[in-house]
Amino acid sequence: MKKKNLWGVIPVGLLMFMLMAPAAQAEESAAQAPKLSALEILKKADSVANAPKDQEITLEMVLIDKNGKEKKREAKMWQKGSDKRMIKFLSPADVKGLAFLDLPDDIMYLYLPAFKKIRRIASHVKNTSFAGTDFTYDDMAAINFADEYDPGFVEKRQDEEEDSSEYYRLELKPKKGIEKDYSRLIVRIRKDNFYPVEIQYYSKKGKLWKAMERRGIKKNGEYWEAKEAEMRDLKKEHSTKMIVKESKFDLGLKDELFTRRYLKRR
Amino acid sequence: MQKFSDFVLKFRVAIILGTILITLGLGYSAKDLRINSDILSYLPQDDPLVMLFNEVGDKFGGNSLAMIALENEDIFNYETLTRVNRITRKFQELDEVSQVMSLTDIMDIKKIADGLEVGRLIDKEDIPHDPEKLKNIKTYTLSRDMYRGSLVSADGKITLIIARLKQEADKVALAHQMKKIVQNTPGREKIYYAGIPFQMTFLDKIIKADLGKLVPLVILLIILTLYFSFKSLRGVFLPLITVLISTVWTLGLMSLMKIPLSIASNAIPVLLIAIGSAYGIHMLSKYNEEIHRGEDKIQGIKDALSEVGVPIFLAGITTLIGFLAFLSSSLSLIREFGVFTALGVMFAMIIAVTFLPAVLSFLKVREVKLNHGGTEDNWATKSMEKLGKFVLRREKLFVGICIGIVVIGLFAIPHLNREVNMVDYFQKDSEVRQAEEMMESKLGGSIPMQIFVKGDLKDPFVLKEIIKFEKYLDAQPHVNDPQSIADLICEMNRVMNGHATIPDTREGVANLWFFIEGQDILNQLINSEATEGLVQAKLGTVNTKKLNVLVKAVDQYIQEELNTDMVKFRISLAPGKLANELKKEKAEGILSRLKQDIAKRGSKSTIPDKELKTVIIASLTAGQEGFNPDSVKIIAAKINNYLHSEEADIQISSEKIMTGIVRDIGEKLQKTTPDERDIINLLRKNIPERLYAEDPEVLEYTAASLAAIINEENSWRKVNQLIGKLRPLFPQELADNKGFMKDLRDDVWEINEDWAALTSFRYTEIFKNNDYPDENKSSLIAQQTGMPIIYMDIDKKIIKSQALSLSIAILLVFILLTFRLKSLVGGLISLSPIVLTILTAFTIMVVFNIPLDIVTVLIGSVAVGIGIDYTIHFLTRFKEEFSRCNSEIEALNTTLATTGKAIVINAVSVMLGFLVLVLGNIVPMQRFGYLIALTMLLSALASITVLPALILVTRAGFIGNFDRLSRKIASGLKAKVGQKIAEQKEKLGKIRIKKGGNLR
Repeated sequence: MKKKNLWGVIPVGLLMFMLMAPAAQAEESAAQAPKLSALEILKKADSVANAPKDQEITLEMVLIDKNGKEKKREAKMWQKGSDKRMIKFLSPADVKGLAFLDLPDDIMYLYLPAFKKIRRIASHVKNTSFAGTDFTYDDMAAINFADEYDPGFVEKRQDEEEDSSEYYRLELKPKKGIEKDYSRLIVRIRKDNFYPVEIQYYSKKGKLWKAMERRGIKKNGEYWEAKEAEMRDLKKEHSTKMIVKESKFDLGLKDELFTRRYLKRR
Repeated sequence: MQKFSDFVLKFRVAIILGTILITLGLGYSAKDLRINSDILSYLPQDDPLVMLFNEVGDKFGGNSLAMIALENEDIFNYETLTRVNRITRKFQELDEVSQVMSLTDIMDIKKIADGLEVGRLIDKEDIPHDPEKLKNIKTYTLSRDMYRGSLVSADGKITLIIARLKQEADKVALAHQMKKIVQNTPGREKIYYAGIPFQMTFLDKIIKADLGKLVPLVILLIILTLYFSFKSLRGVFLPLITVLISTVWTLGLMSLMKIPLSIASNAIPVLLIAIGSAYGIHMLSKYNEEIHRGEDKIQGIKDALSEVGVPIFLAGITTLIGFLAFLSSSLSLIREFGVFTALGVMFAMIIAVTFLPAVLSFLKVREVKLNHGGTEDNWATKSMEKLGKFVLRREKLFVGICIGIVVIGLFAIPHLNREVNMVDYFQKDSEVRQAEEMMESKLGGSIPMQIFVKGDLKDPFVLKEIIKFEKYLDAQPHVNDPQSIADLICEMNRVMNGHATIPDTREGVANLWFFIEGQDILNQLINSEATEGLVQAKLGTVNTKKLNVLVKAVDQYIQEELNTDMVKFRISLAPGKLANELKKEKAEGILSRLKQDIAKRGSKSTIPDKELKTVIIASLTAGQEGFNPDSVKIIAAKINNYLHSEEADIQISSEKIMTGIVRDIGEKLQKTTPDERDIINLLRKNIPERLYAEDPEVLEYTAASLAAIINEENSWRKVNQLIGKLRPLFPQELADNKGFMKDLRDDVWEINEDWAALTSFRYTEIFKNNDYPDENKSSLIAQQTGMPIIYMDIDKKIIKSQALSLSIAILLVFILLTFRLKSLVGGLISLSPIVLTILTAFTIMVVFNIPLDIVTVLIGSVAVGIGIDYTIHFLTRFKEEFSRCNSEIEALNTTLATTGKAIVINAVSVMLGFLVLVLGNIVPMQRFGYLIALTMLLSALASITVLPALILVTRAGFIGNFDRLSRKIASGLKAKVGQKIAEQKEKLGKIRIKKGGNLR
């Protein structure tokens, strides 16, 4: 999974991963015997990213700084398959209409409404923030953890009160030869539906750096989805919440929608 | 005093034990004494400038920059870049580092054919080995203003790693850690450490090294002096132990009170040892005298103590006054120095009259020979006699010299040079100096000037005002690379639209802003709400005088030039006559920015302001012209491309329709610039309705896209035409300067903008009303902060400290002497030697360009405190002799031969003690060393020359009754001086034996 994602791809890719899980598969897994290897669990959690054919999500991003001050923006996203996405910002007013179009083979277009211009973007940035959020491109691109990390179980600590009957806890270390900004991840995965509810990112020095939590996990039609995901950057003391306002799946979106022509449409 | 000496002898055991215990206790605590080289920590924390500086530090990730420079033949090679990357990453792992910037970790937005490329200047995961790739990176990096001369030297031989340290970080410890990291990364590059955190570690190191070197040296010196004075073990040991104990007490107490040694107080040990020994010496020599007179041990001690107690006390008090006068300073560094040196002096005094006699009482009586009658002594006495003669004969000359010194001194004082920068603490060949010089010559300097701005930083006119401000800064001497959020927006605009300007609409700004949102660099430039920001510029000098000029100029700009209150409006909505007026205003604005761009390049040629303005106004007021055939061709090609591309809002497959559209628009363009309505009509004419019947909006979209293409082309056409007309008006060196031509393009781009802003005052003037919606108001507040203004603050406080502490010291000493002499005139006259000394010292500082700094600021009061002792000794003796002798010459000669000699010997030994400081490595301390040594010598000499001359000239009554003497030797005195002296020689010898060694 070496895909170099940029602006648009990421939120969608991320959402795919963090907000949805095919319900059917999850239920089936829960019914199985619990004696699974760490890798099997991780793969199942990864398979949660098996998205519907297409989707349309209205999403609110809340950026919270260290003084608790919030900045909000709203965007609408469309995705078809796993490699065509469009994101349009609805608010704040001064970026309304700003849109990204992400196509296969790292082709990405951007529409700037203030200049009525479409620009192509090429990018190699993986570890910087996406549009002011606490998610980096890399955080978002890592859809299949099993491809990039070696998993292991985390021993339950004595002081822990968490009910280990509800969650698996995996420790993920980057595979040899794969360069990451993190030394390891701790992922908490629900046993009943293999939904990863929390990821902790540790710095190369071994300190907890960032933590992502997903809340309000519910079934929406066929799929499990989290209503909210929050990423906290402990070093910057900054966090980002992504709140799903509305989501529709399997709408039969046309390919025509994912063209530069539609990038300019309100 | 008798009671006191009884007390000391009665409790001698307790005193000795007590002293030892206290010394052990405080000695133990002294080992934890810390060093604080952070000059900022000594500033009053409630000072508004300090508060602002700290606030800005808190808000923007810290005030301190630690910089590592790597130097190599060519830094664009795999090894060096890998090392840069390693260091960068290690730094990033440090918790107290808020941000690290280097070649391997910097976002780079590149313009490419049909868009932009967002990436890293150098990908840290993939540093190339390939020379070709490295060469490309080098060429690109050096081609960009934002890297060349700031992150990489223009010759590509030096590169910087810049770490911003968090406000709460222990800077010295962190800088040490960073240094270790750098040393542990392999590589052959030459390393420079620049920035205040590193300067602090170096300072720390040399403070420690100096203490280790200078304290033993001064001890050795004292031992030698004492040995030559007393020629006995106890003569060396007892005064020495007195000062050592007092030094241990002082340092122990500092440590107990958690007060670290500063750049000033690290002189305390040397100072105490040099000046504190006098008390032990007085006590011991008096005791020797008593013993010599045949008294027994205990009685000798008692007598010595009761006789010498008062003079010691008096000398001590004046010294205390000198040091305590520093309490008036607002810099805690100077206060601490004053208090603890005063305490040390007090301790030395107390120990000299308690512990020392107590120990003495246990020692065997030893036959002492008084040191008199030796050849040296004769020589000294003879020179003193000559001096006496000279003074007497030339008393008026001396008074004249005094007046001269006063006049010159008063004239010189305002010209005193000052230096407060930390770099100045280090010697010329030191690592710190070399690093600073390299930073200044290759990378723009190491000290940032900061301007804290408040306002809506997404407001285009606030940003434009900031750009204008930066242009002003850039035009100032020594200011390099001003940077702010406004530059990033301009840079984004350049990448997106080809001109590095601030868009005139809020949406334009926001669209560009979107790309940099969340980038690490923003934390250093703005707060998260974008209501506060920082403009930073590097300064290529650390010279206090130059910095002060700059700081004042910038403050003046903020006061007078910066538009803090603006009203936005659209020129196109103003009626014709008004619109012309507004266009003139706009031309003024463009011209003023152009002038800054010219000033920045230091062009000396005259610029034809008026012509430039006329050309700009003409361009602004020109009506819509048709496009020339070339422009039409270009636009037609663009439209054709658009219609064929996926971007086309309407899908047309027929070539015929498309050709028709292109042709119609082309024809229209030859006459005028069509607006969207015109274009829709043209589209309707060419496109069959069935193509848009389903989605009628599509025509509007298409028209908007076409209008955008035409508008952009039109804007460029106007700008290029204007540039073409302006260029010949500039001197050749500017017209050929690519950087200037780019600036010109960006400056005149504004002719395309409809939105404009005026100060609210000017708005009311022009529009004849102040009726505008609130949202059209823009406001901007700017405050200067950063090290330069802090240094200026320190400089001001140093001057104030100097003036205040010196005045207080002189006033208190004057009061003390007036009371003691019971004469106002006496008080005034006795101040003269020290005042002359200080004025001379200042004059010398001006002549030899020795600056007043954080340490040399101390010399005034210290000189008063110590130097006044010589006057007191002289006066006491002279008064005594005056009442006893038959003539003033006799009194003078006697005084000179005894106390006068002692004064000179004492001054020379204290001077040598201070001169030890010159051997240290801290430059201000060296200056302090030789200056204070000089004042010692001067004040001693003044006390035995100027002082008697003044007394003789004024015949001041406080000395005694001159009339009594004048009757005796009224006539022909001067003619017979020689004879008289010869006559008196005999008497003098006797007197000397009687009174010999009074002081010493």
